[in-house]
Amino acid sequence: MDNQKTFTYRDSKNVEHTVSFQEKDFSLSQINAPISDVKMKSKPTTFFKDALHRFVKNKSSVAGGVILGVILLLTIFVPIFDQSDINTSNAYLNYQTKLSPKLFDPGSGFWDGTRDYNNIAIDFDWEAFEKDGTYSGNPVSSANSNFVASAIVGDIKYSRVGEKKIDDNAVSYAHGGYVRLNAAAGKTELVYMESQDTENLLYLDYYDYTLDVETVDLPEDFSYGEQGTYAINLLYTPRGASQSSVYTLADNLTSGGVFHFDLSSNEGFLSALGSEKVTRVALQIALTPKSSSATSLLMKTAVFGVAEGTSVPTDAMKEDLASVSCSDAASKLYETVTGASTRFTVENGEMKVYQADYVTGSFRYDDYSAVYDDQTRNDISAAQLNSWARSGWLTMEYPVDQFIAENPRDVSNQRRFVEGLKLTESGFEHCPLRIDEGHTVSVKVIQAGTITSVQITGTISPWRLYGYNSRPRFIFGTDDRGRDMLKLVFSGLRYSVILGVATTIVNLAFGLVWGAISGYFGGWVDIVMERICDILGGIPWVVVMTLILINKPAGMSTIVMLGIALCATGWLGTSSLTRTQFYRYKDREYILAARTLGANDGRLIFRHILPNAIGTLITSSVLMIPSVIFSEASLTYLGLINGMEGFGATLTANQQYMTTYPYLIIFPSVIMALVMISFNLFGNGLRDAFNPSLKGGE
Amino acid sequence: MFRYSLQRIFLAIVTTVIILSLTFFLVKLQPFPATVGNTDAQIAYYSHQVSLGYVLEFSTAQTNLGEPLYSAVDGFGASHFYYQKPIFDQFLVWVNGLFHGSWGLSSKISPNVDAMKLIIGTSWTDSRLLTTVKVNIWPAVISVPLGLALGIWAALKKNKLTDHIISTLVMVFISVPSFITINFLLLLFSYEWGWFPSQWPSVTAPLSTRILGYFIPTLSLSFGSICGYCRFTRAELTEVMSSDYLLLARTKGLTRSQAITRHALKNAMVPILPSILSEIIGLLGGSMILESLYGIPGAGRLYIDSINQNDYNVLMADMSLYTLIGLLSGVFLDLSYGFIDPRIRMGAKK
Repeated sequence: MDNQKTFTYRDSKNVEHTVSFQEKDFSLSQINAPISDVKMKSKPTTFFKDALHRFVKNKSSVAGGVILGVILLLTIFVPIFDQSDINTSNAYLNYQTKLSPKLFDPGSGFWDGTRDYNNIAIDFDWEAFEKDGTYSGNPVSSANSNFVASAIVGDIKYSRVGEKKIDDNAVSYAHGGYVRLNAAAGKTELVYMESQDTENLLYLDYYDYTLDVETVDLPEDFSYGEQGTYAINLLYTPRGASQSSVYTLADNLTSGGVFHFDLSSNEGFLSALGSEKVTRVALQIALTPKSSSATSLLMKTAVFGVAEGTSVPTDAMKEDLASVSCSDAASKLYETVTGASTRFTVENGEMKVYQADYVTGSFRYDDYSAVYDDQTRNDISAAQLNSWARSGWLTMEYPVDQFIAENPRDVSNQRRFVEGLKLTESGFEHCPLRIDEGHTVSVKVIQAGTITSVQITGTISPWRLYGYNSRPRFIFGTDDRGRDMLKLVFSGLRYSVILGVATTIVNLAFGLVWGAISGYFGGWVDIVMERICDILGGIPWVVVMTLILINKPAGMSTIVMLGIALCATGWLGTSSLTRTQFYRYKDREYILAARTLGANDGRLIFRHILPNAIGTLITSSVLMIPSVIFSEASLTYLGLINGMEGFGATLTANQQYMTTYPYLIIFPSVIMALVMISFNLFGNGLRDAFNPSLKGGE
Repeated sequence: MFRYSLQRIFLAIVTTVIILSLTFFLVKLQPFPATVGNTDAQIAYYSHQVSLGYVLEFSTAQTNLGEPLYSAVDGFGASHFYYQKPIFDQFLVWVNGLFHGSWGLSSKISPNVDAMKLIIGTSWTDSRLLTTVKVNIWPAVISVPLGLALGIWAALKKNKLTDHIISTLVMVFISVPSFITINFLLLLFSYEWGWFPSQWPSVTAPLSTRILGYFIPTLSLSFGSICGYCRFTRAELTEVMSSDYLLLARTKGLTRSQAITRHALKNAMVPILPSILSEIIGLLGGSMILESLYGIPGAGRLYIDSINQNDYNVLMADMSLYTLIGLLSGVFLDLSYGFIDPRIRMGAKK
């Protein structure tokens, strides 16, 4: 019982407890067991695994990384798999300029290659409108770009503008109104109203004609000049005469008014004609300005009519100002006035539509249908037929060359040629010329002088003609040169990313060495190197860029110079990061230990100190890439560099279409923004993962 | 402190001198900017360069001065040979001008006007620098309170939904390049809705238009700086909030709001205030991209114009301005730490 030990203690309720131990209660558990290190139960982790573990926890950074990965994959694969041509300036690309983005099939109304056109002037059928009030017409935007009627989705919403003063925005296909005739100071101006196919308006072989002219005084708000005088003349060419003569109907007119001339009872005109009773007649307005200032006249109508009581059909002669069309070509306002076959010509001055009535239409338009729907074309050449036959798409029982050489005028030959044209199996798939039910080919022989040529007319499938295997669908649309924006954007991005990566590698390598030397050796080496950095860092980056870019040697490519410019100060960040790391670690005991064991400077720098900085350096490198892309885009935007193919160039080139074709700006901008955001998210996630202590900081 | 300030200012001046000299030589290394036009115009142009002091004129060909820049016979039969002075001589001419208050005359943008006068202007309306400041002052006025408020809000609600939303928005807007922001603002406000002018209104435009013209520049510049301030404030404040002394403050019985307003905010402001102050100096620099895109006749656009038109004197003057502003705001940033928090001894030995 000697070995028994008894202890007493009181608990909180002041009750006494007694505990007793005996020696046999205890035994040595490991008295004979071998003692050695036990393998750790938890898995060992490396620095990178640890960082990855932390990174994965950060959801937004993972999302950023995934988006970034997808975009980078796209920059690699889109330019490879998208076969659209964006480099050569192929003529056919002009057919598909500025197509709207199309992802879905037409009809969904969103991203389906259709576009709203609002208030487009309409080539309006006024006659039908005046007869029964029905609206109809073809929309026409300007003189050179028409709309294809079949590509209009749904109905056109018409809206009649009413008679409106047309001063700066020319409108096509206006109707009625006034025409403004101008004459410069000191110059008599002659304005003719005449027919397009003959020299003059009317071919008179009897005299029961009337001429109605209505002119209007200059409006008060019109500042062109004072009103001068004007005369209403008839310009006539008696049969057989080579020169036309002028007969003045009214002279020295100073103000507007309604003038009615009955030619059959106009003795002066009849006697001027003399015995020659058949003539061509045109109306001539002669404007005579006051000596010091220009003059204008507004002309409302000029109608050759038939005298009352005469029953001769005169539709062709009743040309007046009822139809007016104006076009704005080459950004210069010019207007012509046309009736069905009337035209106005002006000798010296100018003529403008002053006020007119027009109808506009709003409609939805399918760009793709307009460009790629089957079209009837009459310019199919023999060479094209031959090349299609060589491709195995087409068989010709009666070869086209033989047909042209033998006797194309012979109708049976023509029939033999047309009926001999057959599509092969692959031709149904690929041949631009469509020959099946409903699509026929016709031949017409054209004789121009001594040259005989054959005009082959047929239905052409444009997308097959332009070399596509299926109807094209441009997800991002096409730009002003017909290039696929999708491919353009991603190959631009690829260019930018490659530039960014290359620049980053150079900056990293140089900054690392510089910072390592500066930080490791310290002392005067550090002071000198730091001052150099201070000076370089003190120059604004735009100044650095400018200096390097304006000193570009001839023959050096812009991208190399840009790379140099970006590297000139880009390494400063890396160098200062490295230097800080070296200052932190170079006095640690383990370095001292390594040095004691005989490690030389190089080993200390690269094996013992640098690995500590690796996380920070990786982060800063990842964040450097978007900043390089940003710099490149900004410099292109500012116009300081050109000739780049990067992202900024695409954006800059399309800046001018911001109002008219906003998608050309929106898609590249969105991609650019996505790249920037995801790079930053990813980079910040990396930083947090590598340096948990900095989390939430800058 | 005083000694350190003097040191820093002196160092900034030395750096400026080095940068400007380097810049001058690099700019002048380029081929002499040629001009177009007939003989008379050419002779007038080079005579002008002679009066600026960069070119020498002779009536006979010289053998020791290299290739002539231009040689011609004028209408009176007199020969003119123009040679470029050595770059170092041109540098001396330029430096000499600086001491007499002249930055050299503009050659293309606004011929025969002093380059600095072109930037600073002669009146309230034609001052490019003032235009830049006027455009940049509103973003500063808006973004400082908004950025600080958002940053404080996010920090107080750290790791809650509010914080996540604010941080995400900040991330987005800080990443998107300014020209893209400007593009979208223009698309929406100018072209789609037509609220604001799509170009900087001229001085002759009506007052209402001129006021509306401030909106897009202000908005586009504000996004970035609001986000910058917000992120900075949030980072600083969260760091302070997790510090021991704030825990002590709560332990000794201060309410959360008392602890935050009296201790956390004050300490968080130490690095924030100097950066605000230095950014206000940075306003003078302005945004070149905005000025070129929105057509604002400010100092930044003048810079771009002077590069594109090879007007080197204007380029030099503008560059000097930018360099000085950049260096000064750096010095100011460093010095103001010491003023705001006396515990920080700038430049003190270890």
